[in-house]
Amino acid sequence: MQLPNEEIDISIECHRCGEPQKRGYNFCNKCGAQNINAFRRELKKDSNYSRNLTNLARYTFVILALIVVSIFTGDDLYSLIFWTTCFAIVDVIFGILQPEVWSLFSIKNIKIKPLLFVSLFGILSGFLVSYSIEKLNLFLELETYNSIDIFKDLEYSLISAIVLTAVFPAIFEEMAFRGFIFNNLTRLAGKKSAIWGSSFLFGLVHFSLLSLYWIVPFGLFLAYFRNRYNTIIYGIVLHFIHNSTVVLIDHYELF
Amino acid sequence: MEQNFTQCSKCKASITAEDVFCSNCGYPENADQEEKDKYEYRIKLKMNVLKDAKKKLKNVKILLWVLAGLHLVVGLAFLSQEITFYDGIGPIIAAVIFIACVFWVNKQPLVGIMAAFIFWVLLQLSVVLVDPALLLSGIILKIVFIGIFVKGISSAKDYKEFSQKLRTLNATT
Repeated sequence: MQLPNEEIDISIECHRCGEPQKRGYNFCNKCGAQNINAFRRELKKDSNYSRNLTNLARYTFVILALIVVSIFTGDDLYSLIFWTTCFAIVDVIFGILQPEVWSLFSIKNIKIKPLLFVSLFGILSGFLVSYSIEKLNLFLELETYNSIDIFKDLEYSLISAIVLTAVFPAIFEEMAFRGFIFNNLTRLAGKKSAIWGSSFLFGLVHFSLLSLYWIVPFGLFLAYFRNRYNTIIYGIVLHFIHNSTVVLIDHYELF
Repeated sequence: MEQNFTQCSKCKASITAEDVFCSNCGYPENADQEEKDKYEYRIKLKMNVLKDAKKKLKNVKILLWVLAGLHLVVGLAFLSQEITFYDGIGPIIAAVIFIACVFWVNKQPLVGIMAAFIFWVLLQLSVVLVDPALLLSGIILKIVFIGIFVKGISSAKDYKEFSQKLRTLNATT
């Protein structure tokens, strides 16, 4: 049996015995020592894995702790402002620690067609979600939740509601789930797992089992766009339009 | 110079008659018995790590089935009583999520276990939200569950790495 193109390259030699080796060898054919470069690659892979897992665990823990504490402290307007600011500060701090996330805000390759698509999808999903939640709450005899209620006493209630429930969450939730969590999960387990994992986590942090039916698919859609275009701008636009639509529906009591 | 090639008896890669070790998997094809024993010992060590990782992943899957079963029973019990429909639906949804996580762990152990762990933690916190005193109820069991989840997460890497390595070396567990 003859092997083509596998000549011995004298420039590559075993680090232990100095025997010339074939290109891309894993073990020395004379002394059995592992290729030092392959060994270093394995070590690097190991340390990268640990670093990504630590980053992911640290960020997820901080975000979950923040959300849980915020739920415990009530849902009045000042709590909302305080916790939204905390969430933004945490994202900025982690953005400094993991600066690659800022490149996801790039608007260089933004195209008009996908932008129009996500905008229309945002309006449609806003209507669908509001309508289905209304029907589901009626069916289960649950108290209906109005996103505008806590802003009612303010002079500019609609603008305040849009800023606090559409602008801030759109930017910082996208940065969190399609930024930090997606990036670290991709490095740890691949893109498919990152899409599913970040969407599931996105659903969980909204702290409502019943809402999972729409939040997880919504998260999957956002993660798909993040993965396809390597930017979170489409996600931010979609998220903003979706949340704004829900706020406007609640404000004008359309359902 | 013409060389006679033969196959490595472990990974089936092509090697020459002069090669003492296979350059692909490191098997001491033409070495003495002592080297072969050393090689087999290293493979056995890898297999043990993989076996241990599999055991820990299995524990996580058993835990998830138990949690799913418990939530299903609670949900069905609530539905059969005069408690609101929502009280019954919640645990049933949780049971379905735990079952989905079992399949997720089979496909992608790390992400599956992390998702299940975070979900379980949030479920515990939602219970504490209703009654903070419940934080300490069954605390030993909760610590055991956390231990199983954390060991599962750390084993997920070993499982992936060593099953890949042993597959490359053509070694069967």
